[in-house]
Amino acid sequence: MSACLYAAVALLSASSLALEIVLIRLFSVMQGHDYASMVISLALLGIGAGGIAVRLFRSWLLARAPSILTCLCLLFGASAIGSFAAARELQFNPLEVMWSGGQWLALAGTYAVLAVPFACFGAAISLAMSAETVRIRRIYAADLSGAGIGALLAMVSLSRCFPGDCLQLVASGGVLASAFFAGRQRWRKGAVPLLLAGALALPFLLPASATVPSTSEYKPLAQAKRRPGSKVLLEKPSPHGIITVVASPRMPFRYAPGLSPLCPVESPKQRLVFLNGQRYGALPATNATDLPAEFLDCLPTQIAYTLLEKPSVLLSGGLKGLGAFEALSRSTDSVHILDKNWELLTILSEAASLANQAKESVHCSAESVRAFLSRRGGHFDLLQLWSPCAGEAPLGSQGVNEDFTCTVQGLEQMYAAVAPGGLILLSRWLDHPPAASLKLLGTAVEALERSGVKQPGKSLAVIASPTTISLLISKGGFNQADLERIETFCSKRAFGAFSLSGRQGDASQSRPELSRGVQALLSKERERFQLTYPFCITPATDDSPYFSRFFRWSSLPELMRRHGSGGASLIQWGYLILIAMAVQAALAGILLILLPLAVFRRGQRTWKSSGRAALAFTCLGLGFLFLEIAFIQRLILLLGDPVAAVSVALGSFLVFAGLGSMACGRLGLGRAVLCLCLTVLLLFLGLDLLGPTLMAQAWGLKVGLAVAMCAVPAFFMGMPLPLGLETVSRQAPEWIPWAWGVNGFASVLAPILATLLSIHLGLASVVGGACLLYLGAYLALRSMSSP
Amino acid sequence: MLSGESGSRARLKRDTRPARLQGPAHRLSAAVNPVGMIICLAVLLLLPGAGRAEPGYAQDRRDMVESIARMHGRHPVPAAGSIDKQVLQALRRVPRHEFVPEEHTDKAYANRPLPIGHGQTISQPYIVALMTDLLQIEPTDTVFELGTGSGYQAAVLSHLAAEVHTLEIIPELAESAARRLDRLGYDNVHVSQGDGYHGLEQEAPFEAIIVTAAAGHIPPPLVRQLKEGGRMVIPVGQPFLTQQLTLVTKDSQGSLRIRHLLPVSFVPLTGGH
Repeated sequence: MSACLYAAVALLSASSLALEIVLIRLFSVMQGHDYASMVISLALLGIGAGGIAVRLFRSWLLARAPSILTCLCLLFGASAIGSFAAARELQFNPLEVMWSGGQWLALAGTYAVLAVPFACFGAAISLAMSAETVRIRRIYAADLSGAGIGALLAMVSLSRCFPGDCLQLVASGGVLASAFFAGRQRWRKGAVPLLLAGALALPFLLPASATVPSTSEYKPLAQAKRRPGSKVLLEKPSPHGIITVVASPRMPFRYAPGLSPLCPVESPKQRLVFLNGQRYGALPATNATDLPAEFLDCLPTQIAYTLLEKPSVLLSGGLKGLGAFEALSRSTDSVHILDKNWELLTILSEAASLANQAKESVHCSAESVRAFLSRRGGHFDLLQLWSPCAGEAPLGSQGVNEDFTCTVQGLEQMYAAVAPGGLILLSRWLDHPPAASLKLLGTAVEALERSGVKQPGKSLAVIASPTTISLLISKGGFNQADLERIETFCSKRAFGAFSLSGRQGDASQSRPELSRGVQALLSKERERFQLTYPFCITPATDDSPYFSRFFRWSSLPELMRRHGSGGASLIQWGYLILIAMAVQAALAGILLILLPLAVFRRGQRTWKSSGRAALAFTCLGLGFLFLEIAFIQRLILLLGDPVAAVSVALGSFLVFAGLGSMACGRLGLGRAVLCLCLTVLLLFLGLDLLGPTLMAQAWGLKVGLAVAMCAVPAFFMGMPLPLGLETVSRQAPEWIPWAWGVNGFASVLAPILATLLSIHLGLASVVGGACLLYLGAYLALRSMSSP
Repeated sequence: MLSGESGSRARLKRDTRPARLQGPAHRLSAAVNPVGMIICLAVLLLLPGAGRAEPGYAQDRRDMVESIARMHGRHPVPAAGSIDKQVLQALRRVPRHEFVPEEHTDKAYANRPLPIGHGQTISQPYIVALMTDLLQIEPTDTVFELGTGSGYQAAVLSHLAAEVHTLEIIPELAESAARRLDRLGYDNVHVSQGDGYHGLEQEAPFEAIIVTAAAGHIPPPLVRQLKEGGRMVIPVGQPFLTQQLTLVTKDSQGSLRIRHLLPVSFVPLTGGH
């Protein structure tokens, strides 16, 4: 019978974590990743709310625990799909939030409906713990291990299936869990076959439309599909999202970032490639020869081929921009094309007929530029990256995400990989007023200084097309002839040229802000300029790899005052969303934590240790997630891919923490916390020292190392919570669900706080903070145990 | 140039080449009898918000224009000072509430963008005023607009220019805009539907070109269709945040000057640098 309990808990936890991941993918497709993260992370408050509800109605629920558990699982399964369908109908439009009060209601409604399945999950686990206090450790172990397996299954499923289908599987998981709970009750055993059949049949019974995401009509994919005669040529899931290729034969797409307005030839017809509904890149309508040399010559990125003769090329972001086709058409010695998404590389290589063109000199590799350079080494004449540091979104709609390519250390590594006389070419969309451009420039200056370049200005040049900015970094510096060639190149194409060695040819473009910024970044005033600029342009580092953070509180009042005349587009809402999430999660958490304390304030049911318990379980929830986030960030650098890093970290942390919780009795709380802090500090110290060596290893070995690195601290991290719950169980068992709820709220708040800490103080502060939180939890729990 | 029973517009052609559109407004009005009209009016008056009279909107419109005029000193081109009086006068004359979906008419004169369906928006009035102002239109000018949307921008332009040619890629929007402009009597606006990349070669050159859809590059055919001395305005950005403007001017020698502008006066923000 206990096996049924653990299996049910594991299944429900697996389904719950899988639901979280699948919903993030679904809402990313519908609205965008930043919005998806916000909505889902706040919906997870439902887990804590479920625990609080069990505390409030404990007696009634405990008396009917077996039936209630079965019902909660069934409700989880139903609401997994129902809440998604309801949220989809609410049609929240994040773009309209600052113009319309009604959108806030839609947002609140979205939170509320999406919290329902998570509340069912939270209530079920806390009720199971309350009903089976002697089995707390094993229930917690089943919960964590199930969640770990659920995370891995969700990641694998999403790379092969559409998210709507995955949602149906998640719902089936909930129904299946109910069968296991029902199996524990003799009189209910008759329902088991029915529930099992229901779980198996669910994916086939539901209409496909119930779980199909409705893409926002403002997303680029929806816009592309509106073109008369357009058709979807390909739609397939991949680890990084849904890939869609759209053709429009009657009114062709013409993707040519930064194309000269003076281009004498017609832009070729193309197909567009989308990832999760956002434009990713373009392919020639038939094959690579559809992009004639005269057309490519109009692109700002052609400056590299004007300065270099048949260079060997390393191109990162294969499908972004048109770099791959430029490199192929220039018949260079060798071309290495990198993209994190193997599926996109396959599409690219098929479209460009790479297999038929100089097979031996074209190589594709699905990894980040830093991982590739660490593993392979070597020197290239040209390192070309399109939009490497942040998304293509304009400043205002940009989220704050970690990215290790455009850190000082990242550019330093790339500079070392350029052959003498070679170039790094970094291109991105125009930003005005300049924020990303100046940040990139400042990062390059610092990277060059760290590489021993005495006068960085002589190695840098900027080309501004009407819609893009390209930064050129020369290994060895530009000579007079190079500068003249750059100026001629630009003047023929109506581009602006900003060389950083005192010359400035800017015949056709007026960019006074960029010009002033460039001068300031090369002067002794650099640091002061970076610190006082209205946007954050201080270079990102590996310790705080947030290139895409531009927000400055000091500029907010002015931008808000001018929101009607354009200020809205300059406010980085992605950062403010993080703050809003933290405030909302903290307020909701505090209210719900205090609610039972207020309800049971009178009489004998008051628990004197509630304050210390709240502190302990808050610290445990925050500490666990702080470490998980810190490891994910380090693994992104090590493995070179965020999807792989999240899969490895989530799976390893949860499974090994589950194992740790089984063994917690042997070690005890104090030793567990001590071992945890020591291993974490040693691991991060080791990663700092051995990082480059580890990055140079084969991918399989790196994954093995990553699992091992997560496993050791995770084993110890699994111990404090069950030990804490056992302490509560001994003193006041009726408060177990509440303690579980407190931990749940802290788990929602933790990733947001960890990201904010990492942005402002660096990753070291997150790791240090996690150790302090575990120490705090230990002290609070010890004081509860002492007489 | 023009054909069709109203003598002002061509019929819709579904082709890759831009096709002129004609609204069926005249045929509709002829088919409606007076009793039916009275009943319709009575029904409309009973609908919430539907019975608001034009004078009410006129006050809203005046308020909207005044608030735009007050944005003195926030002009992205400091030398330009404030938005030209002629432009403001044009805004006063265009019934914006006729260009927004019925459910949004109460917000028609707020300084905000509004959805018009098909994933498109009607720009906020300030942006319309600003883009129009940047074009510096003379009464004899022929203007080309790429991206008709609801037709509001074209209506504003029609009060300033001799002829306005506007092209929309989405057939439904092109048709409804053509009907609306026809109904409101904008006879110097010519709506076409088709791929805007090649511009409108048969009507070129233009003294001014306004592009209301963000693009990854400035289409060279449009630059070629711009008269020497002409001006082109292109915004860059997302539907509800479309605020980043680029101004392209072609001098008498055919050379281009490209300026990136922003409706926020950026000078105060970066002051001191």
